[in-house]
Amino acid sequence: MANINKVELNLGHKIANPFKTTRKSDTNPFKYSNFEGNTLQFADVFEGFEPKKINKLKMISSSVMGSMIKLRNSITEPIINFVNRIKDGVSNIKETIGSKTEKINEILNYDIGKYLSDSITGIGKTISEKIHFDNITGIGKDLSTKWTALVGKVHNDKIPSGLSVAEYRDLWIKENELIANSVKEAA
Amino acid sequence: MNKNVAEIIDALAAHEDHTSIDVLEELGTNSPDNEVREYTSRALVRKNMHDSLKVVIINQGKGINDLSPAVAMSTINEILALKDKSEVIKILDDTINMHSDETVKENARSVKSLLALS
Repeated sequence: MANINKVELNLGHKIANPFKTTRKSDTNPFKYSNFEGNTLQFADVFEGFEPKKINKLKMISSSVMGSMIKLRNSITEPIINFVNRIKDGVSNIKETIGSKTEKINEILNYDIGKYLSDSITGIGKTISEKIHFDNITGIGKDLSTKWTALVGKVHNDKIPSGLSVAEYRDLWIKENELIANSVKEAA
Repeated sequence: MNKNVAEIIDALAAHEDHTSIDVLEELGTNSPDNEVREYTSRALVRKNMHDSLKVVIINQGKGINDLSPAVAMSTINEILALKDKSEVIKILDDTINMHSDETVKENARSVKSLLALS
């Protein structure tokens, strides 16, 4: 109760405005300025604003730390990207080599001799069919004779059997020409 | 002699077509090569046909009338080796009786004598 009375007593007093000052000095530049009755004392404005002493070591360490963080952010990312790129590249190379190896294996396993044989057989078949057709039509009889003789020569250098008399005659004439040419060359 | 030519002559000698005789006469008995003429004449005899035997018996300078003794003797030997000599005797007789050339007649007569003795 005594405390309450004390508070009331205090409230009853007029509270003085702590910023309201009156200066009688003529040197105050804000003397005629209207601050709604409140003027700041010039000298008091910068009171308590003593410049702090900066710790240089702390500044340097902060700077170093900042730089390191910055460096980490700027360098680490590209390195990660670089590693990822390398990893992807290696995977691609592996895939490429794998596919190339398969193709090389296909090429190596391919029977070139068989391919050539099949091709030659196909060509021979086509020519034989053509000659057969010509024989039927009677147009390419001479060609047929020559071809038969050529085939006989290529295969076993033997005169084929089953030819017509005219074909044998042609072959004989050609043989005579060859003999005559060889005699001339020898001479 | 060229191996291919010999094979052609053999093929023509075995050929059923009568025109093969014409080819053998044209290219074989007229060949400048003695071996080809000899081989062809023997082939014609082996055919043992009227037309083929005529070529080597009645023609001057071919078969038994060839200027080369080797060709003539080989042809005569082939004639003597024939199993069926009926056709060759008939032609020899006709040649002896009707041929215009005396040398050909003489040669035919000699061959016929050899046949009689064999």
